[in-house]
Amino acid sequence: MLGQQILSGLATGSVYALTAIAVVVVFRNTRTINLAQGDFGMIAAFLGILFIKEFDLNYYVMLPLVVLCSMALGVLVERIVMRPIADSDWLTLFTATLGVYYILHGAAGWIWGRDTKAFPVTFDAEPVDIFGALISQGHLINMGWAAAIGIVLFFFFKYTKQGIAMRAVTDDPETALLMGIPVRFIVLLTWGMAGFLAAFAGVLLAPIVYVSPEMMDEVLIKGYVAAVFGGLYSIPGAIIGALMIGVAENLAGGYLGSHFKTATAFVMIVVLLTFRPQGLFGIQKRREI
Amino acid sequence: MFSYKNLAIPLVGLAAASLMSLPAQAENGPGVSDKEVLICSYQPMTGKVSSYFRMGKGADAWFKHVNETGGVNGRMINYKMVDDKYEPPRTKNIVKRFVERDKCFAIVAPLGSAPTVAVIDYIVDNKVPLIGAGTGAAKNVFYKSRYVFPLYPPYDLEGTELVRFAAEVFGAKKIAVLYQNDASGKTHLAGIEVGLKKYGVEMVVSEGYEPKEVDVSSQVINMKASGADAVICSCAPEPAAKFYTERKKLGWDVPVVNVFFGKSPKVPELAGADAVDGVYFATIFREWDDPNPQIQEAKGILAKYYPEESPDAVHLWGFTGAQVFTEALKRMGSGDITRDALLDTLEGIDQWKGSVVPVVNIGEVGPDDEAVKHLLVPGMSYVQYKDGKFNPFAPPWMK
Repeated sequence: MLGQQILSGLATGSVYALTAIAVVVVFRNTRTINLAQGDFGMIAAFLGILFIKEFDLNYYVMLPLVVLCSMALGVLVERIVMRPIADSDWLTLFTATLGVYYILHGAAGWIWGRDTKAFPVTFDAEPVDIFGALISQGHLINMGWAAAIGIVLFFFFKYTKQGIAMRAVTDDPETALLMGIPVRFIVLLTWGMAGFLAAFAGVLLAPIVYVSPEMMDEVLIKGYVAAVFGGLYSIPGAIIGALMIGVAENLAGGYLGSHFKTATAFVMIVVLLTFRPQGLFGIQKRREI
Repeated sequence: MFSYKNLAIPLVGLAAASLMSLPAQAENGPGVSDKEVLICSYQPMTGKVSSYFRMGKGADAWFKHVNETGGVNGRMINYKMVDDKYEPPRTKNIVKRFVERDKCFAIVAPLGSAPTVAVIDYIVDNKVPLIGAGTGAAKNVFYKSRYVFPLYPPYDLEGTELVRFAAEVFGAKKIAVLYQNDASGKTHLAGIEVGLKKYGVEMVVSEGYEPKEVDVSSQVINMKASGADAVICSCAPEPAAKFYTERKKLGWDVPVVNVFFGKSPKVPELAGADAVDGVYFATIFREWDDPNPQIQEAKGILAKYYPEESPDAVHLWGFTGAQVFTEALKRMGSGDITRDALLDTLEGIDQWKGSVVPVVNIGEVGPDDEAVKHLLVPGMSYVQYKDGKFNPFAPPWMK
């Protein structure tokens, strides 16, 4: 039973991981906690249904199209909403993303209805046996995607010009600007990347949590907690945080009782921040006076 | 020259005129005119449980149909629905406006246990009839008032009945229970505990879930490990679908009976028909493919006014309250339409077979009686999801 609880927890944690990574990427480059991150994924899931059902596209044609649309949504939000207030304080930026959250919620409900919908792609129902613990093929594929995206991002930030530029903007935006890095373009790219990650999160989660305007609400909260847990600046930290939360929730639910399950993530974050305010992999920054 | 005699004539005239006008004002209750009856309802039109707005749509479709076919005794029914998002503080404000500002004649087919529990005292204190609220919460069903007409049996009685089902149909000795961690699930659990003693069954594990939970895997793993030989699932459609998916994933071929409010085509649609095949569901309404003329009429009406809806049991909750109210209005004729007359007329409905439920018998509630005597749908039956559809199933004690 222990192995099964851990494996199921890892599967759930991988679901949180994609959202946690996106929260970190946007925060690092824009100092914005993007409350609309989950809803980018929700819109992607609805678009996935639209492309498959109305345009009769198969999964592998639908996926890149949804990714493109979701990136376009991220870019659009940056250009229309975030750029005009880019120099505002964090609370204004935070509130603006809250506005985007409600707009996307309302728009999805208006266009597609508020009824929960099944995602028309289901994976083979036969579970896979891993050392006696069972995992569904859908969850296994999700974990594979999350791992692949993590690796792609690692190489992107380590070896590509844009990735290195993004890291420079993260470290010191003013110096990056003086060195000729197009900071505005990097910020635009950041929001595009948020859309990219959201598309995967939405489409991969859709068969598990089903599709509705509220489908990503709980995932966003857990993804955010995972991001803070990992230090808010660290992508590996966000992934590890998400997996730890997924496993801890399942173990708490399994051994302490189901009532403890949902509170676990928050207990973990309170305890961690008490002893290590910068998170697991965060760097403690001291404010200069 | 001023004279009291001169003043007396118009005063007497005025008094006579106002006396003559008094009976006309007393004829109709609040919200009722010669052309219209205003009735109201709170519904989760948006928010996390908006799938239950189907109840409001069912009632609304029926009233639209009634109005399109000429209304009732020359009066149109104005059915006002307001979104409370299933948030009791909102429901309180909405109902206050219904009563004090809008002067609603009655509250018909509203939805929800928590919202109704929050407003029922206020509704009854203001002597507003509450007809067919979509809840089995004990407070509503056992309320000591003539003004409350509950829709269906309380959840605790259902819980007890489901233990009987597990014992007599599955031959279960040890059961596991998955329940929603709120008033509905806990009331079911209380009823299940009563049933355990009555039918000699042991509950080896009970697992709760939050409605917003991303998955229920840890609960299902525990339930499987408990060695239970049957499961009672007190689950709404979406969590039920997650449970059946997880059960299939773990290859746990345990017999399951689900509470009636989880019986929905959404369950096999979301979980896949394979995962739900063989599951039993309690139900208190007829199936939509039942050839019964009232059901087929309702199906046509729903398709006409809400063409995007897939017919579901929750629509029938709305139809039931709406049809019973319409029947009472018809029986009251074109004369006095008061709230007291409505209560008397509703209590006079006996062996009525004109609605989507097989038969409606509404009892009389005296000053010390509980509203359970007013139940619109007292009976419960069962279906089994098999080969892609819900099929009627009669347990041994119902044959």
